[in-house]
Amino acid sequence: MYTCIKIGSIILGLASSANAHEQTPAYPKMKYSHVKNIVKYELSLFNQREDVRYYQVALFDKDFNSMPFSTKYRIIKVDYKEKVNFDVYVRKSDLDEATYICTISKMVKERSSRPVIASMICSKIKEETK
Amino acid sequence: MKYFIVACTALASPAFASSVDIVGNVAAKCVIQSAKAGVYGNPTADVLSTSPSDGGVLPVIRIDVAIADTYVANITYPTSFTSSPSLTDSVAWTGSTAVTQTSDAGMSGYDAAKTVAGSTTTYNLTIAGSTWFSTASTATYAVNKPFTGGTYVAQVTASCIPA
Repeated sequence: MYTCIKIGSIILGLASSANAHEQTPAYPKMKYSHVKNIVKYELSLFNQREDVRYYQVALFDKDFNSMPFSTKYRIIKVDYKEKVNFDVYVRKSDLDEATYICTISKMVKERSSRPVIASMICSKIKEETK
Repeated sequence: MKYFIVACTALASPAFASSVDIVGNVAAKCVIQSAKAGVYGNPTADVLSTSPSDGGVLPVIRIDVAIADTYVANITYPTSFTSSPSLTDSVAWTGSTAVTQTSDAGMSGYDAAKTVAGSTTTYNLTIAGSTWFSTASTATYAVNKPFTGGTYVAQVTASCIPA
């Protein structure tokens, strides 16, 4: 029975040497936004993953619980070998808890028959930069 | 005489822009790469395994860090299928992650220093350079039940978190 199972395409990652996800800076600096009591962090995402075009932006506390924030697009489209700069806006009142700004690779459903390794890279909001 | 003076003046002029600075900056940075595909083998009716002895291929993730002691790597083996045929019973998952290659001999201690919590293995990336991690994954279907025919997809998650 089990010989009938089509296993060949059960893959946990793509065989490519140029599948990289990169986010900078590691420790972003706080900047004041044009809105009162809202601060801004400027980050950059570089997509060298041929298999991924979309990344989700997320803000977490130190225990990786989701926190409220604002950005232009929570799901960013980043073409292969493209660099995208994005801003994350955080309420000053949330700054005590806000710790990690992360981007997480997302797959479109049609491509999931050939899945990839999910990657998540975070930047840390350090106390001294708040 | 006039031309001679002009020529002498030009020769005596200082050479402008004789040197140009090149400024570089090495900042903390982490890059995650999927270095090698993983494939499940199907050694018995109820088992899917990435172990080479079971006919599978271990997926390999490469993580590069530019500066030592700035990042922690978390690698999580799958505990569910992201897509599969309809399954009526439960699947038991096991797995592990290990360092398979390093760019610096000092990284050889990473495996001894790793911590494991559930399906997640954590490494402190204390040395700048590249580290290759392989993740083993096994899915076992309910006792004495063969997996339903079809394509099964699972996902390894790699995270890079500043320390």
